Amino acid sequence: MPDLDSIKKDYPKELESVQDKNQLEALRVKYLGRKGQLTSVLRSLKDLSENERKTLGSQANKLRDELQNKIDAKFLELGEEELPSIDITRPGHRPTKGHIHLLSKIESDIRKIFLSMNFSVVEGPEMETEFYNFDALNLPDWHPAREAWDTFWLKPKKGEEQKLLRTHTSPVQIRYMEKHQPPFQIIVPGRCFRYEATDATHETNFYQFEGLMVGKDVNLTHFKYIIEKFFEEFFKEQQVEARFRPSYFPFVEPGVEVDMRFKGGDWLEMMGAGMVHPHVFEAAHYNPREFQGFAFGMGIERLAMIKYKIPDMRMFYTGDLRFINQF
Amino acid sequence: MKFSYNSIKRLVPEVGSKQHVIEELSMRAFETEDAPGSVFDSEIPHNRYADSASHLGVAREYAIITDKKLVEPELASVFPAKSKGLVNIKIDNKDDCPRYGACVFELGKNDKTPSWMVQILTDCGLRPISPVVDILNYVMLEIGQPMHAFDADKLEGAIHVRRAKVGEKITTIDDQEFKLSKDDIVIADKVRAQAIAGIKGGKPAEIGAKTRTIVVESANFDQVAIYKTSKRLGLITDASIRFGHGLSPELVEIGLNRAATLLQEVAGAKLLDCLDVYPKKQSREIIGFDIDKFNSLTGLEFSANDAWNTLKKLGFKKTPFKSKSERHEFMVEVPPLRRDVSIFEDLVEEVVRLYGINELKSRAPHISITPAKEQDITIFKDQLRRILTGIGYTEVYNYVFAKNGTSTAYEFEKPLAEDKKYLRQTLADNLEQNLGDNARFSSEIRLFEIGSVFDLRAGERFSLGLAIKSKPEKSFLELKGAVEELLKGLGLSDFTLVPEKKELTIKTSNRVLGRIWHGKRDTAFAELEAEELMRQEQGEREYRPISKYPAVIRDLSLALKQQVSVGEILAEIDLAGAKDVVDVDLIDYYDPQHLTFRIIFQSDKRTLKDSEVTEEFNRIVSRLKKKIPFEIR
Repeated sequence: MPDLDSIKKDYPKELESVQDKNQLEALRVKYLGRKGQLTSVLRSLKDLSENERKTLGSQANKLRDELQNKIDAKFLELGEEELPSIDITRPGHRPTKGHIHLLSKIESDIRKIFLSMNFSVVEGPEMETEFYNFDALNLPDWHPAREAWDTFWLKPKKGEEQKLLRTHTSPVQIRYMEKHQPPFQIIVPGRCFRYEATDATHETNFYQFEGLMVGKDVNLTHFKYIIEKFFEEFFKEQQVEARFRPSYFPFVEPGVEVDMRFKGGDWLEMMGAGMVHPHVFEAAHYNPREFQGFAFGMGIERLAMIKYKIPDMRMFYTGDLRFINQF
Repeated sequence: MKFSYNSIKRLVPEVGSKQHVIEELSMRAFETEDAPGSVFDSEIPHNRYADSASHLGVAREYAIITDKKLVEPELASVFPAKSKGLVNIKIDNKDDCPRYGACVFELGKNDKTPSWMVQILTDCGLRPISPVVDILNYVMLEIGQPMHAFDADKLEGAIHVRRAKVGEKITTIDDQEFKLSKDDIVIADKVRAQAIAGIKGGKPAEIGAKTRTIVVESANFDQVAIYKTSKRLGLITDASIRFGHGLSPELVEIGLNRAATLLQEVAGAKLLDCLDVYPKKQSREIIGFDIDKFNSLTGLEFSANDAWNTLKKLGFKKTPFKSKSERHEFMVEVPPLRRDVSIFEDLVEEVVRLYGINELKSRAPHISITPAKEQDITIFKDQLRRILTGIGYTEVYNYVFAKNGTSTAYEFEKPLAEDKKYLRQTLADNLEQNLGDNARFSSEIRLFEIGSVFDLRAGERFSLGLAIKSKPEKSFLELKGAVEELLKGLGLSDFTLVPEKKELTIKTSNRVLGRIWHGKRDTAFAELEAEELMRQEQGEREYRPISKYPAVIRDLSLALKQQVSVGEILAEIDLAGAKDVVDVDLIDYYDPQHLTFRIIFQSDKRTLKDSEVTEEFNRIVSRLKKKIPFEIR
């Protein structure tokens, strides 16, 4: 069995010659491992007389601490050198990352803003009946105003009412009111469809969100507040100004059109809105003398196009990753 | 609708600049935009054709808004107490034709339309034709009442407003032939239909160079009937647009009076006789005004008198009539041309728009808050997006149109194009297209879409589609891994992927959640029932203690004597029933017959002894040996 003196004598030289962490570990095992030299010495102490044990024991423990400290120091020293030698100015490796579509991002931004103003988010079907899409919204079939909503009609299924693709998110107003009582405030994001030729600002498929707030005394000044706050939050970095003027939509009375502009820019038409028409309340079985409220509808692509300066509405539906991955 | 600033100037001499007109109309009446020359373009609301689809109407709005004086055009008064009988009118149905006025004129020698009139006509996009036609067109533009002139000598007997006979034909003045139905109203004489009522005149009684005497028609027709006939025949004219939006029978007389003035003064015609048949008088519209409700809707603090002063400017009259059922401060009678005003809310609009909607304050609503919520489906879609983008998939949005459909596909009545005949039943077709379109720019593509799919049987539902284009040997397994990761991310643990032919069906104990399949070449696809996934999704998971005892790893390398699918081997390992197995993984796939599995043993109660693990491991090996011939490598 090696004695303490030879260990004391040998290890500094060996430690000196250590080049890497593997060698250091081998050295540690040689002396301090389960079957290491110093470990054996310590283990053998139990066979000695009490006197010897005291002297040798304290020496051996001291040596063990000393050795352990030196090894630790050497480890740190070696650590520095062991970093792989790479050119850290090379471009970083790109992780595989997916992107959500810009329309999802915008919709989510809109939802957040309205949730913060205590509006709930409601969705409804894209395939609708004539009642919800038109009749209940004060748009009878003989009304020329219907021509503003060019419609995709579906061939009827046997024994079922003919369906259409909703031309706006407004049918959800009726669907929601049929099941809920005021006061409430909701927004309804969703896909809508228009049977028309496409160009940079018109699409057959597009996203819209509807707002509806109903209570005992909801009025036009409240509408202005909500919309102004929305624009402020949505276009956070830019100063925006909103303008409200009269308009006509059969499902509201009075009807309002809202324009917006950035400081110094041109007015941009943003949304149709107004106080919910009594006929619409009646279609949803509300008493229009009891409740009142406002509704509005805004295009989500349009908001995205203005915010991100996107020139063509059709880009949203190309599936082109060179577009999608930008956001 | 185009309007001539020159005409507005004649009606409101103190008019401001064209820009001023545009601005004032836009902010207090209806959207108006600039156009080249002396023209501006107003979007007349669908319900305001009776009063506003005319220069007089627009000038009236402008004058009221700006408190300027409106100079009414000079009007003759044509309807005599007793007609001389030169023209006779018979109306079959008063609902079809509430009013029909007609005047007979002998034409003078004048064959030139004055230049001021030509200017206004051309401003509004009309081509000058002859003095008579030009004057009637001008009256339509100025007053808003469409008019028509027949050659009196070519009409036989009384003017007869009736329904067309089934299959009755008419050739219009522009030489188009139309086959009519009993839903169409015509203006006929004894012999034939001489005009499609409210839409276009017929060839036989058209006026021409030789015409000496004319019958000028100014009439009112049923809005819905004209709209429907015009749509069905595909014949849209200035007249049909106006009638289709609803005009007032009161315009009949104003139009005819104005036409008579101009025909006599400008064209040198001589008025011979007139007749007015007015079987269905326009009813008076009387509405109560409730000032509290007004203030409640607008947020204004008007007195009843403030509101009345605005309504008075717009031509409303106070009436002594009292309604008992509704509370109100006063009752008003609506001006006959304002056919858009029929309920109290319409009055609210009139008062608030003249005040200026833009002038209203903005005030935060006071509400009792209840938690604002998003629906489960909305939250779930967000969650899918979070998980999928996290594992490298990018979201696309595609159209709902499909080129192909099964027998249960919804079909469009009028498809946009041959390759857009159906509503999509799957997201995969579009995703395949997306992979192809993007292939030029990237070698590895991972896509997903969350969107509605439609089916006659299953109705409308949300689907989740995934698509990948990678290396041929990688695509399918990578996508499979992604689907598994997604399902785990949603907290679904008891699903199985069941091989059926070349694809995997994703199943839970009682439901099919979707499938994963190979596409062409290096592509693979998966489509899952998003709403079913949402229902199966587990709620929050509880903490499971981490084992304090070490795991023991045993690798098992097999050289199979014949090819067996990995799925079968995994199933056998499972069926061996070895204790304390926490994970089995395929760590090396050298070729289909040389496989290495890693089996991890761990207990949460104690450190496993080497001998115990060996015993359990051997249990697996012997089970496999019985079922699958192999050698341990």
